[in-house]
Amino acid sequence: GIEIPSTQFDPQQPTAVQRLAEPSQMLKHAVVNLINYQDDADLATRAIPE
Amino acid sequence: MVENNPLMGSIAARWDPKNLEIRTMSVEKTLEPLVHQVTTLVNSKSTLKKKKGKSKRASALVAAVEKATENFIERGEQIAYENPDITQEMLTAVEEVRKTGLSMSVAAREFAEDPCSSLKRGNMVRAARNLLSAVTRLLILADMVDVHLLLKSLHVVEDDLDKLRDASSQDELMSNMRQFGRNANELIKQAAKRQQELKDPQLRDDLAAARAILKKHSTMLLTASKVYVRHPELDLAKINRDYVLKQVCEAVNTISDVAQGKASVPQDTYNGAG
Repeated sequence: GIEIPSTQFDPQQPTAVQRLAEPSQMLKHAVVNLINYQDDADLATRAIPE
Repeated sequence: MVENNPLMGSIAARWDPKNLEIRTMSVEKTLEPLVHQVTTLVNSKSTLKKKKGKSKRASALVAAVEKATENFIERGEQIAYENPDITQEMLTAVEEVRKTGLSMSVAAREFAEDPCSSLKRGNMVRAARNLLSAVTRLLILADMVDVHLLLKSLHVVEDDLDKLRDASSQDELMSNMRQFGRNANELIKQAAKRQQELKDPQLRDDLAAARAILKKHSTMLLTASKVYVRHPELDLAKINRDYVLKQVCEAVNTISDVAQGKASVPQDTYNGAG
């Protein structure tokens, strides 16, 4: 899976920013994965012989 | 809401997405990859790390983005409702994430149906950029929430100090002192969290020094106040109590200044006599 960098200093009482850190990183990874999709699509297009 | 809350008003007025000064490590650690991504998404796709052989159906990737946006919004709303003073600002930022998330979703679905279209990819990248910018804004607001909570705790201690100053009997003094002790402990804890997060070493030092004064002077404040309440006719008792109280008040002011990002005057300890 994706490794999410932890910014938690006190897991018992995380700050507001620390609580948003993980979901924001997950969202970023999801966006990047989707944008990378074209690379795969391009690859498939090139791989199809004329 | 901004108008009703001078603190949030001044902080909100300082928001400038083109000039982000990040003061805390958590925000930096969270935002750095996001901000980097926001720029690289549009500038160059060659900088993105490609993981070959991990292709999924585009619709699954779109669903993942939608789910991640939903999770982020949910967490943002939770924080908003837990902090009634800043609920409105937070919800406005959450709404922006929802709006840009919807645009992203539409653009992503169009792209998923035609992944070879540069136009559709371009549209999606722009939508992604807007979405990540909205996420960044919410993260910065979340940092303001943390500062707001610290300042709230600080105002409680300021009120306690006023009551301590005005106490006229031993019973009143002891009751006020117990209250001050509890609230000062909470403030010291919150300030420690902030100290751990601050990037600027000077501000970290200022906070550490203020916390130390608050902790060490509490007992002195009790004894000096007791003497003053017992012997209000003695000038020295008043001078002594006022001195300790002033030290504690200055420590509280330092915490307030640091929390609001006001830089202290740097002291050049290596110059001067000696």
